[in-house]
Amino acid sequence: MFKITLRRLLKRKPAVIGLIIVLLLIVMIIFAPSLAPYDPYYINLREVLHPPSLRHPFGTDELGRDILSRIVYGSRLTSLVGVSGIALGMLVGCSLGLVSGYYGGLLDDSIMRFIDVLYAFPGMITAIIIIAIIGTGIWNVALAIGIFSISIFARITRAGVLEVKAADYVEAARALGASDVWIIRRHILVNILMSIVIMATVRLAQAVLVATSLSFLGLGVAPGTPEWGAMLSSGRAFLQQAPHITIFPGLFIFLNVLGVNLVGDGIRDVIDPRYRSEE
Amino acid sequence: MYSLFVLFALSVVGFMLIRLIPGDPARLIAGLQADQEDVNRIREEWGLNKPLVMQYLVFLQNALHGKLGISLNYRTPVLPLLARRFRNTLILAIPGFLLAAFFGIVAGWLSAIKRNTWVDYVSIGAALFGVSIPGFWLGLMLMIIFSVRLDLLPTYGMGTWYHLILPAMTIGITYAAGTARLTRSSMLDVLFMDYVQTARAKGLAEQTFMLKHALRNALIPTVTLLGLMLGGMIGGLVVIETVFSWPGVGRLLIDSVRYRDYPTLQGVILLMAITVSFTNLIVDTLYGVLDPRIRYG
Repeated sequence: MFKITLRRLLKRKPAVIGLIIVLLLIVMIIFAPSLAPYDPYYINLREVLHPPSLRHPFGTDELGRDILSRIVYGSRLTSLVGVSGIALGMLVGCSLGLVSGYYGGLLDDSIMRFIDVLYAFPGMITAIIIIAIIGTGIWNVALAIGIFSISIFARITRAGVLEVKAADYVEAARALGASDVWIIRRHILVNILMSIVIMATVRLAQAVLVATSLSFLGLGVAPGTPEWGAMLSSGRAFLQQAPHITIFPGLFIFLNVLGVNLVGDGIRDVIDPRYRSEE
Repeated sequence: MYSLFVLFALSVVGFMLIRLIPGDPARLIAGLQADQEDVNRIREEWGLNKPLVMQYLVFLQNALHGKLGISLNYRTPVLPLLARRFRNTLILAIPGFLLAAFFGIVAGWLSAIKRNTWVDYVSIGAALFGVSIPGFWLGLMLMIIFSVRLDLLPTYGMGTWYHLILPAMTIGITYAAGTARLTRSSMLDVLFMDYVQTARAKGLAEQTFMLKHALRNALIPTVTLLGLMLGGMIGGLVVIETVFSWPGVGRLLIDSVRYRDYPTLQGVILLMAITVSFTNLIVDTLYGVLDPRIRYG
């Protein structure tokens, strides 16, 4: 299954471009210390606001720190927040959706009412309100992203469970005396796994956008931390003299989100035949 | 029913907020510099010495009478402050929303009916660009090009029509993208339905058919998205309002979080709760207009 998906995915140009971007990003995350030419925290007041040059390919910021090095290290923080937030949302959301869809009844009603409210509010605002309660900081941003992602995962899991639960083979398994845990593990999870994976990729792109936005607004990392959104925010004051401070970190956020979106779209097209164009 | 429930739940969130944050709620509302007398007065006024359910009722009663307290940051009553900011956000959100809705629907529709032609590829590419680009970066890039380099438009603030162009464009581009993607995929779904094949078979003119039959049905998911989008813009434009220093509800939200201005924060959450529920209600009503089957459901 996985092999076929990958082979079909590699036939699509946009998906391949996306995969390349994501792979390069992963390389950057793993080898950050060897890729970055300078220490991302090193302040050099003799080289403040320098435009891009051979010494500093992306220029320097208002404290003379090398922007390329800060971007390379920043990839770690940004991805860490996005991935851990989505993982949390997926874990909680899928469990709620599974229980809700499988057992139904009053439990289902009460869980889904809660999910509906969460779903009605835009993710960004939910995240800000959560941060207002628990305070700023990088892990709190991840937690906020996790909480607002719960609703979408719960919804698709529940819908998937309801569909699979009605299938004949599940009834057959039940007639053979299979336990709930067995049915959930061997029949239901296997069938809805793919749509959860697609959703996770799609949401990951959005999570990166929200995480960097929160840092941009000053609700994320501590000032001075090499994080893409925060770097952009400090560059705002120097749009006139040194636009490169805002241009490069934003470009990397954009490429990162674009790559994840391309891969997500590709996987969805391959899995869901409705979107498959005639080949 | 659903809208009412959302409204109720969100008002509880606004109410619980101050009580979830560690510390004495009366002191949080009065501000850290307030003297004991003020704190006591607020505790009395907001019923903070009563049981939680009673506190909620007092809170609701106060809110219904427009008594939302005094902003700690601006030192003015919260209600007029909210009204002013709400108006400012609408000035920005409505043109942005119209741009996004128009271009999103047209691009999505064209891309579906001209599937696998260059029109389709250009629209898909543009939409992908739009959903991937961070709004704050796009805003800053437009600012660098049109304000700093070309010196054509003002960088920030509000006042004239010129101030509106860049932020409205930023909203239009980022929000149109999602709309276009959804409209395209729901148009494609509709084009494969039986009744569409029938309409084609009986020889309806392609143009009328694409507009009257296909688009109308394909718009149902789009209308939901647009409704949620408009409701979410009150407060949800926080990033764009920050970039362009636009004094709207979003800025107010972020400032009240940053300065721990809890009465204002409560007010903003209530306002957003009302707009989100209200747009939900409108969306539900529109469904019936677009799809008569739902009207009797």
